[in-house]
Amino acid sequence: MKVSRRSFMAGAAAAGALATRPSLVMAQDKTLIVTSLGGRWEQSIRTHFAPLFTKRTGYEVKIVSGGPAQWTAQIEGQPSNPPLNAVDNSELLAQSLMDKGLVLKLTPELVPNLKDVPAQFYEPWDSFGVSYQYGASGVFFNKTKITQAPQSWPEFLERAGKGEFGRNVTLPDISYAWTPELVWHLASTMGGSLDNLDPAFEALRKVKPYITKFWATAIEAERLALSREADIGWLWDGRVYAMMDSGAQFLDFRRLKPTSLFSLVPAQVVKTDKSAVAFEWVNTLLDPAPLLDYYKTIQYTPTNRKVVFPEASAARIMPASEGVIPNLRGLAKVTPSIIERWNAEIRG
Amino acid sequence: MSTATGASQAAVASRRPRFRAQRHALLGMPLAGLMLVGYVLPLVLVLGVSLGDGTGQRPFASGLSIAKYVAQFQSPYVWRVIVFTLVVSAAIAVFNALLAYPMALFLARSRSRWRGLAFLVSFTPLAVGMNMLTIGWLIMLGKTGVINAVLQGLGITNEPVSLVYGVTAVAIGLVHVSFTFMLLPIESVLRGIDPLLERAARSLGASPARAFATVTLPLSLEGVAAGMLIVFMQSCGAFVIPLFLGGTGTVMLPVAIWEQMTVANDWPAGAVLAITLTALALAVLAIQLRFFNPLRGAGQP
Repeated sequence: MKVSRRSFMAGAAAAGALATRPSLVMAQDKTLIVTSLGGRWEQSIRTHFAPLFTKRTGYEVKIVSGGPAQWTAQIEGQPSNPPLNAVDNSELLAQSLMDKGLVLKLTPELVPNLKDVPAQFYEPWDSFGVSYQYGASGVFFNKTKITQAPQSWPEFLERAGKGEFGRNVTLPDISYAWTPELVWHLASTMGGSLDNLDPAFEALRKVKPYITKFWATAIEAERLALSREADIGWLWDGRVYAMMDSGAQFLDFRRLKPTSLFSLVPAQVVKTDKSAVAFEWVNTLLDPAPLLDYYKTIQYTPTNRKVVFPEASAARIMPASEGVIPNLRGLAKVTPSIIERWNAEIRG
Repeated sequence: MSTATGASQAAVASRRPRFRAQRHALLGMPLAGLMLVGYVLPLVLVLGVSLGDGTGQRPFASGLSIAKYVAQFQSPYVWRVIVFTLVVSAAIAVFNALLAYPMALFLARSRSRWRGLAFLVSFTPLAVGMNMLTIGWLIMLGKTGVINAVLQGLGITNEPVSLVYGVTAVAIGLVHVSFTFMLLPIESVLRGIDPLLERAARSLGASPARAFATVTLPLSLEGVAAGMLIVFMQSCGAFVIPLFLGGTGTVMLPVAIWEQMTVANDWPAGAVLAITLTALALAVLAIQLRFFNPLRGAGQP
């Protein structure tokens, strides 16, 4: 998809109005600094999105690998001269940048591909960020050991808590950034809410004796699955499908009822003198063509409705309507208490 | 004339130590600069963050407050993590000293042809690095790992034994990764002790064990103390090993700092723990310098 002159000019005008020294824009080097997680994420950003972006704008892309906490700290540490032009953030930290006025609002005029993305992927951040892909939570399981996988979250927790899967269950630890969301999600599937997380903690306390390891990073979860140290555990769909496609034939994945937790990666445009170009970067991230290549590599589902998936993988894709995320502001408020409870009840 | 020459020589002689001191100071400038930029300045900034309320975008941007210190030190969990970090690190230092001393003695005293190989082996933790070493221990100790395969293969156990994700695995990993740092100072000190001293003790009737215990061991304690300090500080700051080899009950301070910053998004709380960790390390360093400072008394008759 090409950028219309109108949209590009609108972006340029918006950024120009914000830039304190607009005359310097032309003097800047033609490099846009963006972010990515490492490994195959970085590989996909570099090979699928960056060339198209460079072709459209003439700007080279410099990718800073790392994680949202590091990038947000870098931006917040130098608010008048942020070292990043666009950032792939976490759900909560995206709000932090938004609240501190360090990122810009995305509109269909500035980011034309936004009109093909369901509102649920940018509304949580009032359009100050848009997720170009989503992961869905579920359970991976060793199908040679577990012939009847659970159908729902309450069933999974009940069977795991009774020791039906042995001490071969794995769940994220509180060291993992998404665990507070997981706690909320588990609670919500059992009648709880952000104000009442008791159902989740009660279930987790029962499951605890059967946990082989509470993992701290998703890569660790992959290792536990591949080494068969865990027969069943919580993980994102894309990671499990990628392992299955890489030859782990004993693995399977199931999304459990009633809902799956979304893993979203809001892309944000940082207030810099290159914001106009950064809008185009976010637009490229939402472009159907590179998104399809990205999906084939990462297995996380693109949010752009225009992406045409291969028929073989259609069954793997969770309809966006089945995914949920918590109220992020509410979650941010209760996260310290979730950590406190986890430390006392799960680690204690 | 001779008086003038004498005065001039005296002036030159009095200036010489000053020139020497200035030259030495210049030699230390690169390291001092590096420490200033890479350690002191970041430490001041972290201190600033720890005293903020988290609403400012920069250290010292908001008003100074010790509220986060009070909140953190009122938490029983934080105290548990601090005590666990200190106890584990101290235990690793002691255990490592016991392991490394015989090896250091062998390297310092032996003329064996295996000495070179032993040196090489003792350097492998440094060559391999902490991440690879951690993965290696996961492969060895894991439920589907080498040790469990051997135990089950020999019929010693029917089910996999839980060897990893606990304090034992963390201790094994930390001892392994820090072994070289314990070995080298001890070996260096032992090599500097004249073997004739021990021989003199034996010629006066002391048994080999008594000669070692009363001559060599006391003289080598400086190396042991230096090694224990390094290992203690390294263990206190360990992140990867407790995270991957440990379990729910083995959280050490660096992991707690990580959680505050990445999960709770509470940078001031994370900074409080980081300052605490630094203060503990500096306190132990001060104790070591007080009692085992090799430079103390240097240059004195």
